[in-house]
Amino acid sequence: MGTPDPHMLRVQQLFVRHQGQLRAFVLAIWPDFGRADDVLQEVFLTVSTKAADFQEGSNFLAWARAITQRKVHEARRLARKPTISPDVLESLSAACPEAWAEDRRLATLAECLKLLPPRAEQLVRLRYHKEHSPPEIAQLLGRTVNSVNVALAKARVALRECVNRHLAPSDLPAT
Amino acid sequence: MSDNPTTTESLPGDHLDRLIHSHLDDSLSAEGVRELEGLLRDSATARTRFWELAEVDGLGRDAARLAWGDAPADEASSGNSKSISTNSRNSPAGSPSDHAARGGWPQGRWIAAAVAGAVVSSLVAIVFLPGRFTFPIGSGAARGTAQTAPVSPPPLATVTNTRFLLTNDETTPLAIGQSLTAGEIGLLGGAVELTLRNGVVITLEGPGEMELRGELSAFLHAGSAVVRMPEGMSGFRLDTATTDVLDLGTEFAVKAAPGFVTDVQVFDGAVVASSKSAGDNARFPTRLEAGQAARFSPLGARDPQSIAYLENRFVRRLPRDAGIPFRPGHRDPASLLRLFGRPQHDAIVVSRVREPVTIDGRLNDWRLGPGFMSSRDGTDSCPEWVDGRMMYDDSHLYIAAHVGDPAPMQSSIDPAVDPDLGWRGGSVQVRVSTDRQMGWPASGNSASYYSQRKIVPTVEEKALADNPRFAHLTMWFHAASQTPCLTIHRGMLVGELEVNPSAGQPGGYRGAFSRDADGKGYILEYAIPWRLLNCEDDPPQAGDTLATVWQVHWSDEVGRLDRQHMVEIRNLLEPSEINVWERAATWGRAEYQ
Repeated sequence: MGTPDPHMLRVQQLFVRHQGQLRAFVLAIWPDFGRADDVLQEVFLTVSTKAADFQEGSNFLAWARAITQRKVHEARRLARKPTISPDVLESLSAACPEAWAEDRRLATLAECLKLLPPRAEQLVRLRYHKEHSPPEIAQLLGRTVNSVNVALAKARVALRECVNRHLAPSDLPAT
Repeated sequence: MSDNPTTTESLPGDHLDRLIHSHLDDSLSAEGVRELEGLLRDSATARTRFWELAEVDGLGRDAARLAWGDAPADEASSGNSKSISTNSRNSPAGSPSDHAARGGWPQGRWIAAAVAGAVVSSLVAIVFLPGRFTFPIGSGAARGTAQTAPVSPPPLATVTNTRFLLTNDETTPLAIGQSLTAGEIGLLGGAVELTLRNGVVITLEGPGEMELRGELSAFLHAGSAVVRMPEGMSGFRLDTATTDVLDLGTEFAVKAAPGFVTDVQVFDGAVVASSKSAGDNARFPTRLEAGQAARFSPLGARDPQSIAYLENRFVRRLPRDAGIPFRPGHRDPASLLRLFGRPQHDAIVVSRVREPVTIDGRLNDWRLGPGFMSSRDGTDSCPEWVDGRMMYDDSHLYIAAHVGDPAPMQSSIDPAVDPDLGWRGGSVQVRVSTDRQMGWPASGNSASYYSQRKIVPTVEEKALADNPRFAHLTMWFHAASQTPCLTIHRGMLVGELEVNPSAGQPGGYRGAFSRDADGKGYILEYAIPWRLLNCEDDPPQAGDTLATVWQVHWSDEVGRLDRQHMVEIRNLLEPSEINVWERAATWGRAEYQ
């Protein structure tokens, strides 16, 4: 058995504990399923490298999100994608609620997915399970891209309402 | 929730919502990005709204896996949809029912475990890290059945070797050189070696089933797999239903056995293995070092159990014992004949010289050299034929050929200008190995052999290609200068081409040509010092069987364009559709007597 640096191990444990939230955070800023895991890898490396900078008892999620939003910005810039400027991303990151995308909300969302009506479920499956882009879904279903975007937006709103409805008020992210 | 099919093409909410939704669909233009940026900069309400709307999108993929299993199914089948060409499959492998079928877990328990797994995964996927490594992102990026990648280079993985392979899906043959995207690979028997684009090599034994998820992640449903990391790289994660195995720079094997038992064995380096049985909070990641093996069982009271390390328990390397055919787009028999010839002979006797050989373009001294005789198309009436001979003594290799050629000795290829094209204007090429330790068959492939087949050669394979005791000899008569030319290329066509080495000097090669009286052929005769073949200290001896192959080229009437070509003294056990100049194993036997 090895004898790792206990502080680094603790920081890595925190990362693992919050990795679902951080992945969601990446996808919210850059909705590209193919890139999200790569970015998160980079975040983990940076978190490990800078573990000494993190003080026990401070807000790990806020610290990690700050690193994450910088990594997303770098990755988008390298990919030559239009990107929100770093200062706005920083403000946006700071506004992200602590409980945003936490595990309880993930589990509830999974249950809500099963309640979707068939046509909405089909769309959501294609988008989030099959990871097809809206243009691919439009081609698949013989619809326009715009109609797919509209339907997805409505499904997201409905799912959000479902999640909030099934969680107690105290479970809702503070805004 | 009611089913409310979209009939109007308007987004819900106001302009800000529309911008955010467009962003979430990754369809926002640069102008839209600027507009959204302005709103987010100026308004705290806008920032709050962003996170409200983005949460479902951010969690959507993980939630979908929790709800419907971790391997995407072909959802289009549930509706009035058209088929789509990428990432689709016919059965929902990875769905709860599929996992139940594999291992007998009830569906409800699978879903419960999956939901719980998302919550407790943070407790079990902990790593010990002495230094830099790459963290395995653990959600599992299942993206459908492994299949031939369309045109999106570089592919996630390439099939780089197989042995006795039998796949469980005839539409996924897993041929060597085939590109793969993420997805499932199933074997009924044999084994397959995959090389990922980051250099990670996975050898999967059949019967077995593995889901390739990404450059640093795979899920082993059943069977055994060995993962070998490139030097300096770490962080590959190979999961099973009950165990996560994280590499820390190593070579390790994992076996997913019935009953959700997982065995882990480390050949080199170290791994961190974590049981992920639900409800067992006492489980803690276990570090396994080289020479250690352990068993993880969902019912085991004390995981892991130490088990015997057995060096030969897993298939770590697949021998590259067969050449891989390659057809560059040609299928018709005439083209295949021209490309690869129709060899009739697999060996040539190389006789020891009894009397001094005079290099004069005559065959008077070659009565004891039996050699071989063959025509280009195998018929007696063919005007292109060759009578080839080889002899040797302590200092030289002797080569002679009588070639039937309607346009003899016309080559316009100037050795001072285009020595690399010496073969093209009419020539004889003899490739020889003088590597007495290697013997026959020879082993070594050119760089083009690997690149054409999309194979990344190992360090060992590259070393074989550099063998200094392989020589590619091209002999032709340059008509303009009346010069018997010789070029020598070493190894498997590596390094500089030597052109007419030491010609006319003591210790140099000697060559002579003579034209047939009827103008329909010529004789060439060469004496090549062993020194030029890098073996003067250890030349071939009587009793040696080494490798050689012959090629004869016929040109147009002005000796510029290659017209026809034949191959002889070829290893007939190798696939015919391999160029002899790129694979030494295709060379036949040179039997020194």
